[in-house]
Amino acid sequence: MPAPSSRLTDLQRKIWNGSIPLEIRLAASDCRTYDESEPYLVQPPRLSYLAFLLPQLHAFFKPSLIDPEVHPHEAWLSFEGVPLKWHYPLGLLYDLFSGAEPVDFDKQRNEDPAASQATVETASGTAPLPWRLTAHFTEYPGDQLIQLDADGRALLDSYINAVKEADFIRNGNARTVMSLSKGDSDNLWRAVQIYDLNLFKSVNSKLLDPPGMELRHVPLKIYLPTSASQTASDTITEEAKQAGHIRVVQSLVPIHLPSRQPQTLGTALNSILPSIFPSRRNPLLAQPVLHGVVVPLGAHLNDLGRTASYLDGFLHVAVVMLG
Amino acid sequence: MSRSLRAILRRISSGTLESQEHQLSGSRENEEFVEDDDEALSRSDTSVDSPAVLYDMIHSPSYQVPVLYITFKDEAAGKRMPSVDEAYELLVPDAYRSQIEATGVVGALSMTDHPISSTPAYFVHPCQTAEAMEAVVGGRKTTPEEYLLMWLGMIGASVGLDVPVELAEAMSGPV
Repeated sequence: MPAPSSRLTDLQRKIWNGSIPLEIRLAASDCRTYDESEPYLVQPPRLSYLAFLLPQLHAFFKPSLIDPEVHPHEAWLSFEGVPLKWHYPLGLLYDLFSGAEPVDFDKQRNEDPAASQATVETASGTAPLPWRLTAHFTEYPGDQLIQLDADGRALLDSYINAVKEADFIRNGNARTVMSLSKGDSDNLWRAVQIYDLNLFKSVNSKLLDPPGMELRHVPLKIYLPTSASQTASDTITEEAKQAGHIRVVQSLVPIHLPSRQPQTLGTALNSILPSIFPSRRNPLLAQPVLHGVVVPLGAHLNDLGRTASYLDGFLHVAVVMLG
Repeated sequence: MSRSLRAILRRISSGTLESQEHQLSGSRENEEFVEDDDEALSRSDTSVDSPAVLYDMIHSPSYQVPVLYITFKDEAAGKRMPSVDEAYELLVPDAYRSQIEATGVVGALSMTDHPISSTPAYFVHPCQTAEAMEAVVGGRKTTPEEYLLMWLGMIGASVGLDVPVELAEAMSGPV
């Protein structure tokens, strides 16, 4: 059943307001006082990108740096040794790597029928917060992370490419995004940088509802941790050796099924990854996680796309294996 | 595209071309573009020691066309990938430089995560590919091999990937 639009707007605002507290420590090998520097505490939005923190991180850690002349864009962040990709939004990185148990409202409701008003606040306290990351200023892993630059050009290009791809997926062509005025595309990037929902929506709404275009597909990317992809195929030994490797799966997902019924997350996952999602209704082997929450398989993909997409227009869904 | 075709291209670019007739017969069974092929990647990655440019043709589920990915491997350069400007210097013949930069028929060179290895790689942006291929193919029915040869001629040439005569012959000959 499609949700009423006021609830969707409400949900979109809640997602926009989501944030993750971080505790960032300087890598001992970059620190003059070895491991005795103070941590940097910050709480960025889930939808945003870690690279925006680099100027402040650099300024904060500069007094402790062995080499204070290093540029901010030479810095990089890691979690338990795994370099964090710049073009993955913070929320996606957290869903994939933190080890936090996703909030499962259905499970909570089943375990405590009285808790019909289950909220994120009442969720199990197993989330490892603040999320502890390490900042590095040397030995940039250029074989794993895209190189940044002083102007933020690489980050912008990466973002715009994703927006173009999402637009192409929706309409079958990239005409809408290519025909945005310079003012509009500047505003879109500015909205991402300063994290302004109204400015963002003013441009994004043109991409979601282009005049004269019929939306065909929903931009969706699925992230499988290595253990999941190993059950799917046994030949990925090279990748398994690389810690923190995630397999990214994409497929064109139409808004409607051939029967004209709306596509749900369950029908989509069942058609793209049938060995991991053998049932369209029940998560038997794995759960889809978006913004830290287990998403019910019955959710309509069109609604999800309009409300719960990240800033680049994609639904970035992490798959968490059960058991 | 067929996995064997991709494996051939990787070996050519790393300088280890072998006789491929037995591989090509496999491509007939699989006329549809196959999206990913993990076997091809793990096999060739470990065999390249000298500096190399690795080209991968991977079908894009979003754009529904083949996309050319370019990975630079150079142990001596440490972990640094060439910058976009350096990549253009290394790959693009001067004659094509202004064309590729003006993003006409061939898309611009951009950096992204390689869809299979998830490590940084350059790719030729595919947003114009479908339209450009339509212009080249016209209304004709083509086999996957014919399509790919035309695609290689258009996209590949702009980033230094010429089709070796042996490959062109093998692809066009009777199978």
